[in-house]
This record gives sequence, C-alpha cells and structure tokens, in this order.
Amino acid sequence: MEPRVDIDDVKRNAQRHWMEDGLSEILVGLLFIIIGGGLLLKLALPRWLTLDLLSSALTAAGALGLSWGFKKLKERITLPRSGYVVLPEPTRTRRMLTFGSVAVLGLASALGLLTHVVVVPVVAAVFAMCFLWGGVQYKQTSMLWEAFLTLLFAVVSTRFTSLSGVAGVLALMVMIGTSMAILGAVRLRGFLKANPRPQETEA
Amino acid sequence: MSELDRVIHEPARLTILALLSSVKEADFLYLLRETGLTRGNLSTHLMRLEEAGYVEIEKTFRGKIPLTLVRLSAEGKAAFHGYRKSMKDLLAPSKMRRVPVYIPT
Repeated sequence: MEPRVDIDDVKRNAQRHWMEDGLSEILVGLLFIIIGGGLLLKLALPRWLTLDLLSSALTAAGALGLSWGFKKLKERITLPRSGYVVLPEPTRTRRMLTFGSVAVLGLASALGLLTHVVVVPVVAAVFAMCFLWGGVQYKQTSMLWEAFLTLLFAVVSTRFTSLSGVAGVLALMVMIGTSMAILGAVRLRGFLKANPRPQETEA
Repeated sequence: MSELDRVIHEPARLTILALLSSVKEADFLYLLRETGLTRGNLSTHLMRLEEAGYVEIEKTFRGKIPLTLVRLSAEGKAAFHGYRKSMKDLLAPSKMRRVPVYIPT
C-alpha cells in the first residue's frame, strides 16, 4: 500500500542539486579566501584609517562581485544542463536564529570576550562539525573530505606555524577556502563531463 | 481509516510533489532528471496534477530558450501535507490493529 518513495530523501534532492556542480563550494571557498586574506592583510598593514577603509571596501566589493558572478555562472552552466530550481526562502525561525547568532557574536566580539575563545582548534572543530553534518545530511563526500582537511590544517597550523589567535583563525579560513575551491573545481569538472549541454547531446 | 488521496498516492506523482514541496519552483528539465521519468510520462503526470489543482504550470522564456516552470499550489501543499499526515497516522504503531492469531498445537 505504501508507495516506495523516500519522501525525505527526495526533498533533500533540491539541496543536493544546488551543490552537485561544485559552484557553491567554489564560491564559499573564494569568499573564505577573500575575507580571511583581506583581514589578515589588514592585521599585517600599519593601522591607517585610509588603508583600513580601502581593504574593507575591497573585501566587500570582492564578496559582492563573487555572488553576482555565481548567479551568472549558475545561469550559464548549471541551468541548461541540469534544470532550473529556485530554493525556498529561509523560514522566519531560521532567519531569527541566524540574526541572533550574528548579534551574539558581534556583542561578544565588541566586549572583547572572543579573544580567549578564538583559538584555532576550537574554530576548526566548529567548522569540521558543520562540514560533517552537511556531508552526512546531504550525502556529500567532498564535505566529509573538507571536515578531515579542516582538522588537518588545524594540526599543521598549531604545530608547525607560529600563527595563533585571530591571525591563526584567519589563516585557517584561507586554507579551508583554498581546499574548498579546489574540491569544488574538481566537482565542476566532473559535472561538466557528465552533463553536456542539451544541444551537444542531440548533435 | 481516512481515505488516501489517489492522485498523490501514485509513486511518480508523489515524487513530483515531494520534489516541488522542497523548492519554490522548478523547471521541466529538473523534474525530468530527478524523477527519471520519460518526457511523455512526466507531462501526463503533471497534467493530472494540474487538473487536480495541485500544481501551477507556467510557460515562459529565458532569453530565447522556452522554460516550463512548475510550482506547488496552496491546494497542492495542503493536499501533500494531508497525505503525509494520513500515511503517518496509518503506519503509527498505536494505530496498528492487533489481530489474535490461533496457533494450533
């Protein structure tokens, strides 16, 4: 009587479809590189207001440019090959949770409470847990690799470099971003091979 | 026992509705890939769902390429949730009837 359809698994397909081309991994990876690298640069440069403003403006412009480019690439590469999907907007609860977490982090940072907590192993563990959850939830092997690489980078960073605190975390962000961008590019290559454009198939 | 919605109970149509329930809208190509149905089969099932008022189909263009967009209607959402609920109720352990069985010794 029960039709053999795993409804929950089918429902997760939309998220899997969104990630299957590797573009979202490349985007997040590049964002990590831009934001982490930009802030690292800011730490290294002398504290002049002009330089501060310039590096912040460049980071913001890079992030905005990337998300614009991501949409264009999705339209050109993914949609003709594997179809067009619009994901639903986040629910009110999810929005409130995101806003709440950002507000708490901002407040903690403003009060100087984060300096004791922002240590590479803690941040790496949080990232690794997120990747692990995503990998299991959406059956994404590359995310499991990301979790492993994040922990590996944390070990390398704490044992073999003198980077610690905020600078260490930013360097970790750049390393994670680089690995994400590379894994995303590998996945994109596979996606393009497996899904030629429709007119190429017909020809 | 509440009646099951026969329009949704068909596996292909249930898959289509489950896919559409997790997105805002999707095109024909996406549904074709995800369901593994043939074009003709998918069209027939979509037509059946449209007749029942469960999906809305919009034919449009993206540049010069024709695009068939499909989305779940409010009625479709309610029917899909109702169907899931009745299936859960039906399969819940407390609702399973215990039938005495005579085992001859």
